[in-house]
This record gives sequence, structure tokens and C-alpha cells, in this order.
Amino acid sequence: MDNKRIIIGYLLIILLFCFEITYAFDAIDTHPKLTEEAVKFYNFYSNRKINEKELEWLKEGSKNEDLSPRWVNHFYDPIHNIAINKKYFRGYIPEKGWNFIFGFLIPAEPLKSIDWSLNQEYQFLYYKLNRTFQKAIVSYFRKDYETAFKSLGHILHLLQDLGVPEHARGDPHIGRASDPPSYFENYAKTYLNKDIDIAKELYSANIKIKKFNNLYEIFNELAKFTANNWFSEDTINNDFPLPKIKYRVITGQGYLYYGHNNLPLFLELPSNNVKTTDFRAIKEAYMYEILPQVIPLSSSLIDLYFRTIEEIERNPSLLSYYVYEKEDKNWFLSLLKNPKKLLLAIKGRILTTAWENAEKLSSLRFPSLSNLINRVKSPLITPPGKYVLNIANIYTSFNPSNQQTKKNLDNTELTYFEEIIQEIKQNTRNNTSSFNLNLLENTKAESLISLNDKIQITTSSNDTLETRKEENKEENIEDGKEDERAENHQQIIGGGGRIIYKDKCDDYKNKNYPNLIISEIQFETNTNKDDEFIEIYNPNDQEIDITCWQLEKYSSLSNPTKTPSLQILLPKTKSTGIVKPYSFYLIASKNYSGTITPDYIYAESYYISKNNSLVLRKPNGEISDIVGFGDNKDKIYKFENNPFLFQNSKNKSLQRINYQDTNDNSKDFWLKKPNPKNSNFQEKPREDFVNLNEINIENFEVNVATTEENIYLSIKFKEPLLNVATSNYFYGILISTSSNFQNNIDLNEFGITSSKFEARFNGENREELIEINKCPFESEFYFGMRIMDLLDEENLSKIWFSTFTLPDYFCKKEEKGTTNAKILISELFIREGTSTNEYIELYNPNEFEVSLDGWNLIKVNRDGKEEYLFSTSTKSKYKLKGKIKPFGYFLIANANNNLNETFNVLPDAVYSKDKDFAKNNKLKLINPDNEVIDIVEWQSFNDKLILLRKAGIESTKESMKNEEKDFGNSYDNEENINEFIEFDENEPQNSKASSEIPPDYLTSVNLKIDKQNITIEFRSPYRKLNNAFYEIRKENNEKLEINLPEVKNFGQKEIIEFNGCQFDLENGDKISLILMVNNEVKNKHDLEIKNLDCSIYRAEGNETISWGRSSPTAVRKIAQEIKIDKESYIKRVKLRLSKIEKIEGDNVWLKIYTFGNGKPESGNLIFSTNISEEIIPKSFNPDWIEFNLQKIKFESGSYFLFLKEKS
Amino acid sequence: MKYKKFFILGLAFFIGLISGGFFRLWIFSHTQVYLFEKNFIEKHIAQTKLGGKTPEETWAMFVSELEKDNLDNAIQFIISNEQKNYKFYFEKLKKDGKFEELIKRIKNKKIIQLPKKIGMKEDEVLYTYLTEEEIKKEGEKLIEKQYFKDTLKIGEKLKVPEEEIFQDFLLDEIPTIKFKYNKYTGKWIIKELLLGIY
Repeated sequence: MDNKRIIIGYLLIILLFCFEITYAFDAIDTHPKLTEEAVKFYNFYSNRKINEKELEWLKEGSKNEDLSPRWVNHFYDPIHNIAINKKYFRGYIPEKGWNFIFGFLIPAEPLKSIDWSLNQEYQFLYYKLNRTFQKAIVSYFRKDYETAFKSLGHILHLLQDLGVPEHARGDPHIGRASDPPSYFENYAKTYLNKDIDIAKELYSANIKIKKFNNLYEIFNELAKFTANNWFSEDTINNDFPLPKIKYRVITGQGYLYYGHNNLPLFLELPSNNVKTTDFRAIKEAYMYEILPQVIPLSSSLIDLYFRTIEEIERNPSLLSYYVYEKEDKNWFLSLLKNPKKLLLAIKGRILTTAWENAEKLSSLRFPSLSNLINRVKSPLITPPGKYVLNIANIYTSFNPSNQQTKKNLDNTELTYFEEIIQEIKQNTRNNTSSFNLNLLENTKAESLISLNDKIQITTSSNDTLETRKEENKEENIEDGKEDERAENHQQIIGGGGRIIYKDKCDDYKNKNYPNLIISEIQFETNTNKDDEFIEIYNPNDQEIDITCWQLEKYSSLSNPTKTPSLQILLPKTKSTGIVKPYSFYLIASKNYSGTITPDYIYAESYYISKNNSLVLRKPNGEISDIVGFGDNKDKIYKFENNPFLFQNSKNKSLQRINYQDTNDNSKDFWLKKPNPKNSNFQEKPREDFVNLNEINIENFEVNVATTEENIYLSIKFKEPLLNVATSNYFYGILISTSSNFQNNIDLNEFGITSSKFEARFNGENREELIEINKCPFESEFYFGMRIMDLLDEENLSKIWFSTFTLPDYFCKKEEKGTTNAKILISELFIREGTSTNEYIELYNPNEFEVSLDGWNLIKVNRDGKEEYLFSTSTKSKYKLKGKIKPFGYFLIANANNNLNETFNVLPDAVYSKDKDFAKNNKLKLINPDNEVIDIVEWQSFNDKLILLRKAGIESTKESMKNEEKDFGNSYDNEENINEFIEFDENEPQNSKASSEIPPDYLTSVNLKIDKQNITIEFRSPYRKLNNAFYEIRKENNEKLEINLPEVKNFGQKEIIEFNGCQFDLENGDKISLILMVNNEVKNKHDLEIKNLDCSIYRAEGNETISWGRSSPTAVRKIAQEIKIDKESYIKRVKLRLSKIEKIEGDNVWLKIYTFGNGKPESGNLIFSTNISEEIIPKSFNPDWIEFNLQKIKFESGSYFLFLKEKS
Repeated sequence: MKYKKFFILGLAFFIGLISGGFFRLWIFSHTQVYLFEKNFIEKHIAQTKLGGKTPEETWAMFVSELEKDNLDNAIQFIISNEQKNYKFYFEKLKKDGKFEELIKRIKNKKIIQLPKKIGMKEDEVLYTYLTEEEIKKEGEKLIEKQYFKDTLKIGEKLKVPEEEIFQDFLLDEIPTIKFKYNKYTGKWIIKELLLGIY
């Protein structure tokens, strides 16, 4: 039991060490800074100054209080008087899970921070042990100053935390998953500027240190102030009485709510229904308000500390109140008497020590292999960081209004804190003004320089003169009568009162500038030949003042020896401003139609065109950059090494490749979609840039790889070897029907989900498998691959390509198979424990061919789980496809089969070998409309089971082997019951097997005659015949009107019985059993009548009765009772005349009476005939003699046959 | 012998300490995020299937669906845990008759990329559908707003650069679209939409 608990305990420890939780003001920077300011503020007023060493200890202590898991005790909600409130964990740690996780790891329930700061016994259980206020006092008197001040630092930390709304409202703020962080803390961490001297400002504002009697008062003061004035992220407008919402203002994205204290409290974003404190106005106002509270109160705490020490110094006996004896003695021994407490102490110390150290240990960051693998698997794509709008620059462009804003600010009423700051700023301004250049001094300096400048002006080059002309020209065009001199030159009083003009650019000529480069040129568009711009780029990490820079354009050379005309697109008199590091300067024609605002516009009469050269000059005339471009090198006047030559620049501009400048225009530029950028944009050259056009890969190979269920393209190639660490490049995939890749097929048509995979550039051989899910059509395809740049869609490598063809079974158009037809499972072979040779035979009972495309079989296991035998995926190798001829077969087998060897038959289709049938399974046949067409179900069996569909309703194993062997297997009673027989021979038949047509005629016809009774037995047709009936006709075609059965199917056994004598049939006659279909003879069987007996009926063996007296003279009478058990027809009478010795000359009468009272002649006479001598010759004495009669119908009953000899 | 139990206990905790630390390292290196966070955020990212190859493409598809009034389709481009909120938002706009105004604003607009807001991650980018000129105008409006002036005033005391405050404010002021790269699908999804109409 104990062992179990210990094991669970260990597991919990390990689990907990897995989490790192953020908490409170940042311990590394914020608390030490606040502590430092508090100490400074304290030192302003106190006689007992805290020295540097003590300050360091205090700061160290304020850092250490955050060590795990002490932080759980850093909350104090003074409004509800509770510690950390578990309900605000917002799902990070479920409230119910608290006890489970922390109950074990924390010695007891978390305390309110105020209680924690004084509870020695409790702190004694934690890592870093007792760092209470008492400990700080006692240590001081024991001259352990380090412990004393560190402990005090711990208490300062606790107090300062209460300046954070989350801490003063008991709101844990994990900052992960669903529990948000404290944005106030985060803001303080980022913006608590180390240079701000808050203490000094507060002191200057005459803020005093407030005196408190105890820690509770100080903690409560700050906690209440914080809790009542701000919301924490999880307590916005709930659970707390204050702050009250007073009003709201509309911001760009929502409503900013202000409280009763006129402080912005939270932002409501209606679009995603979020309320948050994460808004700059809120956080900054908070910072502004909270600092003047936290720092003086922290100083008050230090003050309380020293006042307590002074008090004890006056009365040393008081010290005993602060001593924690257990700690002083051997704590282990002192607690031995109380084992429960001892265990708690051991557990607490070990756990908290382990926790903190585990966190420290795990915070070490080792290179992670799995991290790298993850990166490769799912590369974290660096977002397209191109052309990010520089908002700071926009703000800079508002300078005038900013000034206004500042003025407005200056005029507003100032609070005490602002006043202090204002005052400090004033002082600062006064001090810094001394660094400003004195105007007089400047003038003097310039006048000295001007002597040198004069020389420079007179010796200026022709270019400069030309430039000046251009400037004048432009001035005239641009501004008309503007006085260039007045604008561009400073008026200086020369010697003798003579006024001389000094070029304003003179001041810039002596400066050294890094190079700016021309980064993009658009000299025309399709629609406008004058829609042009030139983009200048600063590739340096320092800003460059472009005042007095100049951009020149040289026209194309009409004659190689002639200097082409020059236009100054950007005259130095007009160039002004700063180009920030890695920023741009956009110069455009007036005809420029782009959306990006140019920094400078030149007149529309100026233009650039093919074979021009652009020269960017520094103020001293030094060339910063030259670009020559066009389609004829001979016509280009200036360029770096080689001009950039191109033929067609349709819709493209000339752009510098990754802002590189190798002093060779032909290598530094390419044509791309125009992308002008002005001074609001900033973009660094990419460190990971690769000009993909220059890259090559080797051993490129594409193959189609298939599995049972999938089709892949296997792409093999050798990665180029580049020394670039980046995930911004990837291989893009193209598929086309031609090698020029002009009309590419959408990859979705192939069901390719990802059109790219990352480039590694590691020089290694590589294989990528791309899953193909669809085949758009049957063709040979071209697979192309090229390297692409995530950040620049125009940076492309060449396309490497290879052809591939997808498997036929995948590409052949799947036509929908026949749906309105019945197909039957005719034979099934199942084996237990193996799927080898398992097969399913289908039979087509129709007179038409059936396409099985889209049909499927479903295996249903004993639990009812269904599994398609043929995957419904189009890319599956195994498909049920094909046609089944009328009354033909189709054989489907497990892929794992040797049917050919075993049964000499090949399957028409195979399914995956992992589909195995077992006992108690079911098999469903479905058509393309997913309608179940046939079901076979079987129970248990041994080893193997052969189920054979019957041919007819009465088929048996024997009949199926013999007379019904070739009748097909079409019996279907629509109920799926008794349709099969368990067979003992395998007879798999495939689509090549002969058709077996169930008879549409009568079989097994058999005639039986018993006396008058004729019985015809036969089997009905096996196929269903419509509008069919039976007939029986005589040879003369006379139809016998007897009841005949309806025509059924499935070889139903039929029996027809009738009285042959009724229809005057005689032995030797023939009758025909005819099957009529649609009033035509479909099938006829002739039957000969034999052994038909229409004589008197002798029933019950009661043959003769002699009746009357025998006398030679008297009439002799013979009577016989005839019993008729069913209606009969008598055409002759057989009499036994042995008792008539002589009848010569006598009149002999044969009479037949109904039975009457049981005596002759008592019933009705139904027949009477005189029998002549011809009929009965004299002395005739045979046993029997026949008398032919006219046909008499006898109803069922008894009759008397009576022979009378008349006297 | 007397202290054997304590020795074993201590050893066990030491093992717990070491294994706990390394276990946490292992989790960090494998998941990059906390387990809780992984379950919470990563799940929603993985569940968001739609998106474009670039933020611009995602935006175009999203706007196209909105134009067709296919709200259910449109929200599929937004991270799954926010879809419900935004559907409610769009429906409210419709109810208030503001939906057409929204469409008018965003239709056929090219989005441009902005600097990141504080706290945005490496695989997140911020865009707006406003033009550079419109952004400037919003900036001009912003600097006249009292809460901005108040903050600027405080920022000055706290020695925070004005440009930084301005940028931070302006990014909260103008319509913004926060895109996140969905590493599971290789597409960009919308993580946050602040369209400036409510």
C-alpha cells in the first residue's frame, strides 16, 4: 500500500516537473528594478541609508521569491479575503484537478500573500525555506545581514506583486492555452524603462513615505488600490464591486471602456466577442498610475522594517516574538516527537526543492534532434516578410501635427506626477540646450568654409555645369519662377560688403556617404510609355541623408562617339530627406500610375527608355551607382562592367537581385513584376537568398509506384549543395501533357494534396513519394519540378521533368455498371484459417449481359461489421470490373490463390489478400446504386465450406450433380433462405465457362395410367415465363378441358390427373402436354395412352353376387353391386357369366340401377340393354365377357349391375 | 541502517527530479508547445482545412465566399475555435444592415502587410485591406483621439518612443487580418479578423 502511494507520488512529481508556469511581475528585471527604485526613494528620506551591498541582497531576494512553487502564495484578494482563486485557471488546470496535482506537491493549501509573508512554519517547508518578515528581523540581529536583506527582498516581492491586478484579484495567469497571461505584467516587463528614475521624480514631487504599523496595513493598501481600480483578464466586469464602468469610447476595432476612476479598463472587440485588457492605452495608464503606488509603499515596507529593528533595539526582549525556534534547533530532531509534522516538513522541503531544481534543469535548452526533424517534416514557414509597411515612418511624416499634439499636451492640466516629470524634462531640456549649435557660431564657421568653396565652384566640372542647366530647366518646368538661388544658396556677406551666394550643397560635398543603389527601374508599361519610376535603396545599416544627391539619365547612343543627352531626373537642389537603413526612396514620373506614393516626382517631359543609363551621384559628384540597360549594348552609354540586356520587358520592371551590387549590371538585375517602394518601406536583403535560376539538380527521375490501395509518384533526385540554412525554398510540382509546361493540369485533378515539399540543399540523394488520388484522363504525363521561393514567387529555377503513365486500372473511365439487373452469388468457397483459394462465383440469370463495373461485395463479420471486398477508392489495384454474359459465370477470388493449378480456372477479378472469410459471416452483393442484390449467410463449418446455389426449388446435391448439372444456378426465392446447398465438390466457373441456361421448357415429363386415371408428372420451366399456360390436347387437337396448374418457375414438380375415359381416350391414342407462351407452343410432349381401362369398376373386391333362385324355367338373374368411389365413366361391362348355363332363345337384359334399398331393381334404372345371342352365344361359358356400352357417367356411390334373363 | 529508509527516499526523489526534468525536455522538444496548449490550439489549427497558399489567396477566397453570402463557407477559412464567434458577428452585421457596407469595403481590395503586433508569433502575419493612403488617414485621425494623446503623454514620461506607441495604436485602430500558417495543410488561415465594422 505504502509502495503504491510512493510510486503514485513519484509519478505526480515527474508530471508536475513537466510544466513551467509564468507568474507575477518579471522576477529577472521588474522586481529588482522596483526594489531598486523603492530603496532609492527610501534613501532620500532615511538617515539609515541602504548601501549598495544591501541593495544587491534585496534585489536578489526579490528575484528568488518567484522560485517554484512559492508563487502559489503570491495572491491576495482583499475584497473577498482569499488567496489564489482556482476558478480563474480557465481550464488550464481544472478546479477539480487542483487537489489532485497540487494537493500532493504543496505542503498545504496556498496562503494569501500577506499570510505567507509572516508564516514561518509554513515557509519553513518550502525551497529557500523561511524568508518571512520575522526571518529578516532575526537575521539582522544575528548579524546575518545577507539573509536579513534577502528575506526583506522576498517580502518586497510579495508586496509589489499586489500591484498587479491578477495578483490582487486572485487570478492565476498561466499565459498558456486557455488561461491568458497578465498583460499588465508583460507590459511592465517590456516597458519599465531602466533609465527612468522614478524615485527621484517622486521625491521631487514631494511624495513622502507613509508610515504603517504593520505589514497587513501596507499589503491591504496596495491590494485594495489595485483590485478596485483594474480588472484582471479573467475578472473583467465580474465578481468584484469595483471598478464601475462609467463610459466607453469607440476605437477602430471596438469599445474602450473607462471606469469610475476615468481609467481605461478594458477593450471589447465585438467581432470575436472578446473582452481584454490587452490594449496599449489601458496598460500604459496602468503603469503610469501603479508605479507611484508600488514604489512608495515598498519604501514604506523598508521603513517598517527598520522601525521594527529600532524598536527591538530599544527593547531586546521583543526579539523573541520573531524567533522561530524549530528552525534554530536541529529541526529534524525537534520534530521527532511529532512524526506527522516531521513527515510534512520532509515532504515539503524535498518536493519544493526538487521542483525548483527540476525547472532549472529543464530550462536548459539543448539542441533538439526531434525539433529539427519536426522542422523538416512540417517546416515552419517564415511568413512572407516582404514589403511590410513602415508605420513608424508614417508617424514621422505627421511631424507638424505631432508638434501640434505635443503643444496640446503641454497645455493640458498636469497631475502631480506629470508635473514632476514635466519639471524634470524642463531641467533636462535646459541642460541639453547647451549642446545645440549656436547660430552665431554656425555663421562664423560657414564663412570660414566659404573661402574654400569659392575655389570649388569655379573649378566645377562640365557635368556640374550641365547639371546646373538641367536644374534650371527643371525649375522652370516644375516651379516656374522660383528663385533657385534664393532657395538653394545661402546669402553670405563677403569682404567689402559684397553679397556672394554659397551653394547649399557645399556643406554636403565634404561628407562621406556610403553608396545608395538603384534597385528598380520601370521605364514603360504596356499602356503608357511614360509610366515610369526609379527606386533607390539604402543597403547600409545607417541612414543616409540624400540632400544634394542627384539622379541623372543618359539617353541612348545614336552614335558611339557622341555623348548622349543628359537629363537630371532628381536634381540635387530638390533632393532632400533621409533614407533609413534598408529603406527606399521612390522617384517617379508625373505619368506614374502606381499606388505607392513617390517620394519625388519629376516632370512628365523627362522620360527614360531602353538603352538609357542612370547615374546616381553623391553630393560631391562621386558616383554611387550606375545602371545601363536595354537591348543593344552599343547604344548604352554608361554601365557597370556589362549593361543589363533584355529583349522584352512586357509588364516587368528591372529589379536588383536581392539588392546585390557586384558592379556588373548584367549580373545584378532581373526582370520582375513592378514593385515600387517608397521611404515608408523597409526591407533587408535576404541572408538566405538563392538565385534559383542558377541552381541545378542531378539524377532527376520519376517513377510510378503502386501498392494494393495506393498509387505514388516516386521522385528521385540529388539535392543541390548550398550553404544556406533556410526553409523558405521548396520544390513546386507541375504536371502537364507537354514538356513546355504551358498548359499545366491542376494538381487537384490528380488529387495531389500538397503541391510542394521543402528544399534541403544538402547535396544528398533524395526520394519523395507523392500520392496520386485521381487520374484525370488516360495519357502520358510530364511531371515537372522546380525550386520556388516562398518569399518571392518570381524567383524560380528551371523545370526538371520526366514522363510518367498511370496504371490502366486507375485511369480507365469507370462507367457505371448495370443497375437494374439481378446477379446471383452462385458458388462460394470459404476456408477456415486461411484465405488461400477462397472464391466467389457469380451467375447471371438474365438473358442479357451485365456490366459489373461499380458492383461490389461486402463481407459482414459476425459482429455485423461491414467491409468492402473491393476498395471504393479509385486508385485501388483491385477492382470489380468486367462483364458477365447471359447465363454466364464470373469468378472472384482472393488475391492469394492458385485456382489455375488447383481447379484449372483463372479468376476474373481478385480482391485484397487480407480479406478473409470466416465462420458465421455474411456476404452481400451490391450494385452501383448500393442496393443489396443478393445475400448469402453461413454458419459454422469445419475446415472448408462450399455453398452452391440450387438450380431449382427442389434441387438436391444429387440432382445438381446429375440432371440439373447444366441448368445453371438461378434459384432465388427472394428470401435468401434455402437457396444454397452445401456441396462437396468445387466447381468454380469463370467468365469463359459455357453458359448454363436454366430450362424454359418442361422437364422430367412422365405419364402414368391407372385404370381410368391418367397422371402426368413433370417439372415446370426453371426460368420465369410470362403469359404462359399448359394445355393437353388429343391427336385430333381437341383440347382436354381439365384443370391445369399455373406455369411456375424453378423446376417446380407438377402433377396433372384426369379421367381418361371421360375424354373417350383409348389405349394407343396419343395426347400432348403443351407449354404455351404468348399463345404459341413453346414446348410439347406427346404421350401414348396405355393400359387405360374403361370397363365396369370393381371396387373393394366385391365381385359378384348371385341373387335369385336358379331354375331352368324361371328367369335367372345375376346381380352385382358396383361401388364407385369417384366419378367414373364406363364404356363396357365385364360380366362373369359362368353361372348362366344357357341363354339360347332367352331374352337377356343387362340393367344397371342405382343402389336403391340394396336390392336389384330397387333403385333408378340408369341403363338397360338387350343382350342378343350374338353377344352371348349359346353354351358360352367363359368366366368373363365384355359388353360394350355407350359411355355412362357414374357418380360416386353404389350401383347394381343386373343381368336378367327374360322368360 | 537506521537511515537506510531516508537514504532510499532521498535517492528516489533525486531520480524523480532528474527524470522529471528530462521528461519535460523531451516533451518540449517533441511538441514545441505545452501539452495543454497543443491540445487546445494545435487541434484547432489542424481542424481548419481551408486556406490559400498565401495570405492574399486566403483573403481572396474568404472575401469571395462572403460576397456570395456563403457565411458557412467563409468561416471555414478562420481558425476553427473562432468560427462560431465570427459567424455570429457576420450575422449580426446582416441584422444591423452593415454587412453590405463590409462587402463594399473589402471587395476587390488588395491587402498589404503590416508590422507584427506585440506577441504575434513567427508563423503569423498581419495584413490590412486599407491602402497606404487610407492608413495614413487613419493615422491622422488617431493622433487626434484623446486616448491616444493621453497614452502618448504617459509614454513620454515612461520614455517609450512615440513611434512605437503610434504603431501599436494604429495597428489596433485600423482593420487588420491576422493570418497564421497552418503547418498541417501548408495553407494560411485567418486567426483574427478585426474589420472595423461593428
